[in-house]
Amino acid sequence: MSTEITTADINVPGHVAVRRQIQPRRIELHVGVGLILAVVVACLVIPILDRTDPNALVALPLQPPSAEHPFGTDMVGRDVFIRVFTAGRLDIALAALGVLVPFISGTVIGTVVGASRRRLVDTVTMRLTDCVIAFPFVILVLVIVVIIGADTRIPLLPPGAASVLVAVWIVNWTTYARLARARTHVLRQEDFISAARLLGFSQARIVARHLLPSVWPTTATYAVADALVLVSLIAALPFLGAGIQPPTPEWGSIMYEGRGFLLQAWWISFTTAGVLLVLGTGVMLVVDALVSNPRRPRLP
Amino acid sequence: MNQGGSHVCGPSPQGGTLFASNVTFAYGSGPAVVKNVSLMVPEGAAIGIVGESGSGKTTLASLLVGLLTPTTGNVAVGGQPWSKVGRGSPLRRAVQMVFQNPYAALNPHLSALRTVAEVYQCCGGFTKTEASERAQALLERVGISDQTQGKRPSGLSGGQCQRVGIARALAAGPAVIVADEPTSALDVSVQAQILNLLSDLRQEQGVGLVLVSHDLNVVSYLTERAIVMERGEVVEEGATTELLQKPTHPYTQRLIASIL
Repeated sequence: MSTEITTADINVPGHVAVRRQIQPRRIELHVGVGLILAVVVACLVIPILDRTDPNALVALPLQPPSAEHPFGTDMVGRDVFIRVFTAGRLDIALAALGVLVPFISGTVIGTVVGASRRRLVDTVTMRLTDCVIAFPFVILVLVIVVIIGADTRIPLLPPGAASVLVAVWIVNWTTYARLARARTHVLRQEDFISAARLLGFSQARIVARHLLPSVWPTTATYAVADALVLVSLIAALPFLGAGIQPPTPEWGSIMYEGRGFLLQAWWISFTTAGVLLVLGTGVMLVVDALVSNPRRPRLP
Repeated sequence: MNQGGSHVCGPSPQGGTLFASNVTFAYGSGPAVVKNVSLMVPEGAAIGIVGESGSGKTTLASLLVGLLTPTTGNVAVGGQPWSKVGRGSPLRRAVQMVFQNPYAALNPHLSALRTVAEVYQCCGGFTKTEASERAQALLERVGISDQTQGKRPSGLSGGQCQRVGIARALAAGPAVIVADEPTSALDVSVQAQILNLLSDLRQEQGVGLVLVSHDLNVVSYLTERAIVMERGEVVEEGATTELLQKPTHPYTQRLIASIL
């Protein structure tokens, strides 16, 4: 037993070589961060540098882009450039708040439920999510507007934003919870989770230290798409008498107003959509780079 | 040795650190994948479980560490069945496992040092600093240098990951380590290092070992006794050297012939 074993002593048929780590996709990450920063900084700085009221009539209606008005003017003569970047502050804040709360709560709830070995916990939570998802979202928003009142305000946000956010928070956590639960069910079978159980770690530690770090990239990927959908939803709600009301500048409403003038004044909708496209591309690139960076080499 | 379907490795079926008694296990309503297996691991003993793929070795290993609950029969550690051992009980940590896939066995988000220090912190009640110091020393002992200790599994080789996995298991202060094919996913040169490490640590710390492998050569190097499994049943058992030199069951003979 004391004799040292050598390589030649062991015959393991069909042993597998380990594939080396793939390099992170840094270019996508840097380009994505650059695009996001460009839009965010523009939304923060431009309304400060140019003090023009976004609702002021500054020129003749439907003027094409020029040095004075880089994005032209809209159908009533407002500067589209200042409206787009003023609206960006609100849209980015709403999208961030509307996504962040459901993302965090849904991910934690889904992971806790997924990690639980009590069937009752899983069944009750999942049926609850089914009920919330099954309820028509727009009707739910209208109900919430009635309940909390259109005048209820969240500091720094315009009237109507509170009802939209509360409705989004109530509904959207369910999708994150379902995604997190599904991911947790897969992870629960992994050896490192088995090892944590064998070591007698508490359930809270297993969830917080071992499961959540591997679950959140999955829900974060969905959050990106969710943020972009949320901007569209915020734009659609004013037409039902809910949400943010005109003339508060907001990307969705600017594009919607411009739809009737696409042939004469394409710049109203297209410049707004362009800014949204840059932001969306940036976020997509960042998440794509983060998610496709494998932390664990896989055995072939 | 074979007592009415009960297969016992070791001198006494009443004692031992880890004891499986007539264990049968089936996944869901499927057929039994482990059938009426009994096994005892006396303190500090090393026992091998040999068999081809699908013979039920890994399932038996999972039953021994308490990751699976037997359909019938009983697995006890220190005289207590797993069903009565709570999560916080010291007995829960008495049996640890070294896994087959070294990468999947480690949390991809924790460094080697944090992986081991966490065990000292949670199981030993040490402060963060004390836990880190102990983890550093243990990692050094298993061959993970200072420069490597801060790396996550993605920055480690398969052999290094397996060393960290062994250190994590040892940090819990176990009485028995169940090693499920600990070298099968590694390069041949690294396999020898890991087996030597397991052998040295076993002798140093007096830890019992259950080694699961399809390779009788590996099992004979590290263990004194072994059982041979075929389709969930123990078909032969005895001293490892005897099993290797004078196999009586045709299945064991075929198994040995396949590696020669």
